[in-house]
Amino acid sequence: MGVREYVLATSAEGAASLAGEPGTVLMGGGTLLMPQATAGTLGAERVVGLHAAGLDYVRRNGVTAIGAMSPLATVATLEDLPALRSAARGVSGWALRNVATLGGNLYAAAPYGDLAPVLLALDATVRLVGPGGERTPALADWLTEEGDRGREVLAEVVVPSPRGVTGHRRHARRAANSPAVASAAVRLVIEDGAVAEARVAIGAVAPRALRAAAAEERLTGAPADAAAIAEASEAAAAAASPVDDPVASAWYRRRMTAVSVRQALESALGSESR
Amino acid sequence: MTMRAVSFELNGEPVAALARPLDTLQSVLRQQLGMTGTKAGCRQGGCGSCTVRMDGEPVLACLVPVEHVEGHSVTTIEGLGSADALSPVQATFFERFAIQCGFCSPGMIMVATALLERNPDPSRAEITEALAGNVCRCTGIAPIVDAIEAAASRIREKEGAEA
Amino acid sequence: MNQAKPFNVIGRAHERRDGLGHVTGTTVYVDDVSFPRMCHLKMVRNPLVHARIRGIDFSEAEKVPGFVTALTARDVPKNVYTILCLIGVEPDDEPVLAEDRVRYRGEQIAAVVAETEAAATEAAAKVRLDLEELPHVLDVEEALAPGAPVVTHWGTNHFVYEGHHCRRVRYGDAEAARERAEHVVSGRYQLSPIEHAPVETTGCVAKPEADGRVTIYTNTQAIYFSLDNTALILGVPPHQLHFVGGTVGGGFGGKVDVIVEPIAALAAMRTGRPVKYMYTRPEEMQVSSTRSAARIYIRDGVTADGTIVSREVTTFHDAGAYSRHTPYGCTKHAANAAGPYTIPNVSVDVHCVYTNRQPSSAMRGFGVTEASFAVEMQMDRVARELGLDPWELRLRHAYRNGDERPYRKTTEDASLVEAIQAAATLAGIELSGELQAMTSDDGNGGER
Repeated sequence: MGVREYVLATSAEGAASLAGEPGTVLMGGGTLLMPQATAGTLGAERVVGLHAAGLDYVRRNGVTAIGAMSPLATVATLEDLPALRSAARGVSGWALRNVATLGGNLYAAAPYGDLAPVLLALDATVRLVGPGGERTPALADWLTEEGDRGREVLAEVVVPSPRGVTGHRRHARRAANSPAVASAAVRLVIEDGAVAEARVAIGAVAPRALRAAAAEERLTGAPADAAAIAEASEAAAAAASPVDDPVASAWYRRRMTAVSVRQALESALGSESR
Repeated sequence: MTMRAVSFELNGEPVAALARPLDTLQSVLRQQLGMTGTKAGCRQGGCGSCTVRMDGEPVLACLVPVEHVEGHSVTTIEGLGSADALSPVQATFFERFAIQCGFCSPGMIMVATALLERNPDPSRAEITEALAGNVCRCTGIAPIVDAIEAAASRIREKEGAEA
Repeated sequence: MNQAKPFNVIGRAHERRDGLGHVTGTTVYVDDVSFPRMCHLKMVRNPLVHARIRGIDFSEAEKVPGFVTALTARDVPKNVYTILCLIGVEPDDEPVLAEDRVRYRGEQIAAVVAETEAAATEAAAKVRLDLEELPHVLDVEEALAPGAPVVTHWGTNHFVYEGHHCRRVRYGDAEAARERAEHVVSGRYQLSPIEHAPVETTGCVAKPEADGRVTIYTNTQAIYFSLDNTALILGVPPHQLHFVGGTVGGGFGGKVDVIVEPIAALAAMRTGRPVKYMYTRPEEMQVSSTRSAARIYIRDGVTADGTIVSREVTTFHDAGAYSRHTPYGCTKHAANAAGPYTIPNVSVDVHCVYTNRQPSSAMRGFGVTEASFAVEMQMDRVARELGLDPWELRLRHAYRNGDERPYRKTTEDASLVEAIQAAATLAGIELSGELQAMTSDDGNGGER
């Protein structure tokens, strides 16, 4: 029942070659997996860890390439990606952020996984390494894929240089160290007083983070005035599929989706109001 | 199952432990190395009572496989000070009753110590943010923030006097 | 006249006796205690809500390397766990280990002991339970409705207070006074169960000694209480047990249930080895007792000039599956249900209701805190609905020295009026001269 083997892979490719075998799971920072291993409920005999696979880096050359094993504490220092920094800073506390990783956060089940909405708003792509080679789908596409996500190794997240303004809001039961009730990340490109490009992404209110297409459509091609913001927020709430859980009722999550989106849009536009 | 020897520096001294796969730093500290000052409140990374420092950085010992500390330096509450030689943070916690049941105290003191090394003059908001991952069910946190402010002041005065 | 001698403690700064231990990490908590050959106890718990136990199969559990032994109800000398039996409170409604029926999710069924915590956890998970699910009830009022699933062994879902179905207070004639009053203000107030969530989980280490005694290291808040109850359950004289404790990593009333010591001590006696039984965090949050949920209905009769002349309170406290401290909490609630106010006609019915939820127990002023919450919400409601000033409403009705309480005790040493006035000052509220002049000695009994 307990873990019988812990293998530290020295590369993403090495980890990928072991990942698909029965009874094997991958481990990033370990914040989600270690409690299960300690409690004896992991259900896997072998764990392949990425701690020594050389995936802890931030490289900038026009785009920002963040290794999947970058701690959230590192992500929380990225001044040029303020929405991503805001999301990372909202996760738990300092000591956990030194252990938790960007990649692991993308595998966290709702209501955890606060970084995906921001990365969706930023049009991030992911580099996946499998036994058959590499691929680099958009994060938005990868999140909607069915099937076993444990067979490929998430090695890197690539964030294009953001165009426009961004905003991020997260609501939780407590001010810190508690899972999100709802979170929203937005990006708006404004040209000649109208929104040329809009991204509205929501998290914690569906099995995986998603872009609220109807909200984006409502905003695109028109001024981002109070009416547009209000309607886009409601459209985003309609796109959520929350469930009742010990943190919040589905009703409350849906209400807070609208609030989070509205506040994220106002923040992006620099016109915050209560 | 393979046992592995893990060698690292603990509170300034070289130590070695035997690790089963994914044994946590927390369980090895508490059960093999006699360091019971690091607590086990949840074993899920939620309470912060197992906070230790790895190469100076606060980490949750319940989430760190002990194998990851091979060759690194780990500091626990036992390494900060003793009853007759308290560190400034330990002293202000003691003097200002920033302790009730004491179970969260080692974790709080470890985070506070790391914070003050990084930020010698933190605001109350910065202190509160640094403590976000540490749960205290007794004090209501305010006396802890007060003690850390007082420790910051004491450290700055001492360093000013020594300068 | 001699000056009183200066105090040695009052007015002087002191150090906490245990403060140095806490800040240096040298204070010994129960989980820090270890002995050679110590084994670990894990509890097999009810995964359903309400069920009949048809069978328990240990065959797979016994195969786990490190398995030492398992205990069921049959192994417990006196399998009755009644916290307040020492002060004569009945009924005996809870077993140490379940016999034929389990009444709440997480209820203790069997104890598995193994060499390591991991082995005990694995073995406990491999115990096969044959359970027949029974209908359950989770709401206090539904539990009292005809046809509700019966939780207790005596056939109803309420505790019996001296022949009555609830704890009652009757003072004056509340119904008649309400009918005469110009206004009626009603409210329904609820509290969810509250979990103590101490950072240190409940636990103990039981160690058999060579002379036949058992030493139990425990984080109970109630050490003598726990010793005496454990002795009753084990069927041994109290002097055979040696309890070591007093270091509690947060209790708040959650570590008074004597829930781990009896079974750990039994396991130690059976195996001849030290046994550690620590709650995991999920057990602490989901199984250990809570403050009870309560649903409180208050109906006040108020005259045209804003005097509350009658108060009727009907409360349903959720004891969960077993009594523990809730019958006592309900009595405290009844005494305090009308609030710290002098109201000439009071009627209180407090029901201690059994449901298939987690048993509730003690927590920081339990019984009374629920009353305070509901009463103060009701006072604000009366003020709001009738356009009265909430400060004035409270000051006018606050009890004074000499006033008779609804349970017929005379008020002494009252300082509520002064406390409200001080609160107003702190809140920046300016009270009128008349309100500012009030004292706890106005009126001295009778109608005001």
